[in-house]
Amino acid sequence: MSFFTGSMRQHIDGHKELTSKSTVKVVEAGNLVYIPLINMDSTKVEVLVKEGDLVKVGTKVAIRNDHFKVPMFSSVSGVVKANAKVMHTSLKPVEHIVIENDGQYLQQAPLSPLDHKVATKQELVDFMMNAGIVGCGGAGFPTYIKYSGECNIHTLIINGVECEPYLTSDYAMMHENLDLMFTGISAMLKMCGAKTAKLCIKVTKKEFIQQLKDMATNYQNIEVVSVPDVYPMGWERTLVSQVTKLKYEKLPSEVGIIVNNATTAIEFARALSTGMPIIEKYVTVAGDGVKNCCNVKVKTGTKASEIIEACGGYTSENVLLIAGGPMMGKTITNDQFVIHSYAGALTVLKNNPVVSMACLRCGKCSDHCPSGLQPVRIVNAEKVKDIDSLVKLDVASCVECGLCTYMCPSKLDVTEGVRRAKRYMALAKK
Amino acid sequence: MKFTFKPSPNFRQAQSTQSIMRDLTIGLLVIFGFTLTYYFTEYGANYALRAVSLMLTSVVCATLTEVIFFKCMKQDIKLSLQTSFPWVTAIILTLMCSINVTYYALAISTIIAVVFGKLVFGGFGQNIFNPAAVGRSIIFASFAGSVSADVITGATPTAGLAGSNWLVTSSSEGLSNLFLGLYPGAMGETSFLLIALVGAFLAYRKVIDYRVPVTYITTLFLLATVYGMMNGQGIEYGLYHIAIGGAMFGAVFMMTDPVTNPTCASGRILFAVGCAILTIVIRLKANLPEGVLYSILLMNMMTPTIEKFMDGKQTLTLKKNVITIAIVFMFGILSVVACSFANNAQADEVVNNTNDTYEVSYRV
Repeated sequence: MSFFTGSMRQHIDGHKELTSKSTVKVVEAGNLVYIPLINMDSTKVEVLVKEGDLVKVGTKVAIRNDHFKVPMFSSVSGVVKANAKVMHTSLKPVEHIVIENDGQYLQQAPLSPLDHKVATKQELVDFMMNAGIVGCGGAGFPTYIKYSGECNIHTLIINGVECEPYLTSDYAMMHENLDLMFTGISAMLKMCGAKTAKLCIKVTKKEFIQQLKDMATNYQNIEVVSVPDVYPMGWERTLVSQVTKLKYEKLPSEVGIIVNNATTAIEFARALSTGMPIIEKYVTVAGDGVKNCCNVKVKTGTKASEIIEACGGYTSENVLLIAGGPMMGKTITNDQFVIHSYAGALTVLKNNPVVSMACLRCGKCSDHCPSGLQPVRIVNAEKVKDIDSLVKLDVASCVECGLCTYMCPSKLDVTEGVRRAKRYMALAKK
Repeated sequence: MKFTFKPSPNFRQAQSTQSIMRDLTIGLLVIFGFTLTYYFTEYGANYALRAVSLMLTSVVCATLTEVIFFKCMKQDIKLSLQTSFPWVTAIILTLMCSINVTYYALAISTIIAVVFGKLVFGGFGQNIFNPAAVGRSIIFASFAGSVSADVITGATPTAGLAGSNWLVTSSSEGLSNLFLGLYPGAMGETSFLLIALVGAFLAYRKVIDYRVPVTYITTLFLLATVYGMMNGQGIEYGLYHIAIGGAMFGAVFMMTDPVTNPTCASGRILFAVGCAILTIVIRLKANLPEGVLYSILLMNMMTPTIEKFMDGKQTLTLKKNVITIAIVFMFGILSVVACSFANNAQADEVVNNTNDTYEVSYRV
């Protein structure tokens, strides 16, 4: 009922043509690679190697060891050096394992390959955990959690939407690994017991959808679904609502749905067939702040500075270097951070000044908020510290997708205002 | 090499408040162009020239007032003017006046509109009432008789309809001309068709919210139809109500003023329904020539209440909001029914008095 609530979405000019047609460029890892000791927000990571150890490509070097188990792997072969505290894409300085790359890339598969057709569900879940498969859409949520235990799932949604502007790395990944993707989806279907998998692709990619549909005829329970070219179509809740019309409170599993990224399915299939974890990433490097926009293939742990250099360097002396896309990615204040297992893009924009003015109260933020919130009311309530209103306005539902700031004609930092409100509420609760 | 930090997102759409105001100004000027053409062809160059002079008077007054105000407040005048848009208020106000308004009345009301309608509240974005509506109400209240004696135009259809107890008679203006707008009246309010076209264009450009005019005109039409059916009028009676008296102008250019209407979609719909109810009740019952203007000012007052009421996650409050809108709409229908009974009772009284006092011919 978009008449009474607003559209809750918006078409965005994604500038995807910058990188979607170019070939993927391989960027070699530098002399040192850095493995960040963090997964999502947790730094409770146990280090399994010590300084001076020899490691190979695929050696398990650390494991997140709290309520989630996420192993981390070396992407090169070489010698472990002393740990270093380096900037991370989450905009915090984080401990990293430093590995001196010997350039030989000797492999040591941490797992033995597994055929999903014969393996049991539990074997597949354990394999997924031990291979360190995490959500490659950007969140890095350990994928095996979604499949653990008794799950009453009827539909598996594979998210190939990639709604962030500039990003085409998922698309490049899918395009070059079609067989692996279908294998991964089949394995995931077996793990969750769902009847169908819906592979969601933006309607604008007509040729690609046709290609996928042709392939899907070989798989009875995989269906290709085209979704509108709007932001944030790739957000779990928007996608579930678009594809199945179902609404849920917290997690899609409440209504019998699992959502996984297409790249996650590909990485899982690769691990199943080779026993190797995520050691390489496709990364989109785009924006008006970098000379040659392209997709690159890099080893995890490669520094952003090395990737940008391989793409011709910066075009301006003052840039916004964003880990991820421009909508949800954070601007990082140096280029010494690394590409980790769930990073997919570097957006570099010239730092053009933004001139803002008084709020027009046009309500475009409220009309387009995919959570159905009223950002303008939240920001105003936060200014006068009106806790009752903030509770009523359900600030916690904000996922910081950034659409309110994108829409704002007065060029205000609406999303940042909502974040302030969230922080204020968190403090007030204590 | 500098890596600047800015909070995400770092991506914005092209549309700005300045471009919204520019599009709105262009829309208003298209309407004014129609006005000039009409007066030039119908009444001659002097009248067209007078319309231009009136417009200039108002725009200059509004701009000068703001310049002086910003000077007094020690603000950067150029920067403040760029984000204050005084001319929009002036243009809307002028278009709401008839051609025979005096320069003096227009100038004074413009100044009052800009100062007390906008600037004292804190400027653009902070005002409670639509400034142009404030200005027009000043003219209604204080300068009702201030018309230039040497500028003569015919009677307006709105006055004609109001004079016949809001019933369509053989002397009423033809419906097709009401939609085209080739008749004297408020300068920019006459052409339903042109305003609707400009409104559609502005809605397409996302300058105004289509919900407000669509809801307002639909509600007004339905309520008027109820009244028409109760009083033996034809099905076209509702069309008269939406065609006359600046209903379309108010719906497109004033009710959509984002500063003074609620920010959420449901809120704006409720706002428009409220405007429609007040418009028709004022038309049918009140001692005022027209209802659109006051309905807007009255609903402007309700905006904070509506916003407060509709606070919350819109997907969760949807049901409550829709029910509220439906209840308010039903209340509107009841009001119109009540107006109908009241007007008929009044008419009966007049007829009864006739038998006793022979005064009737003057009163009906």
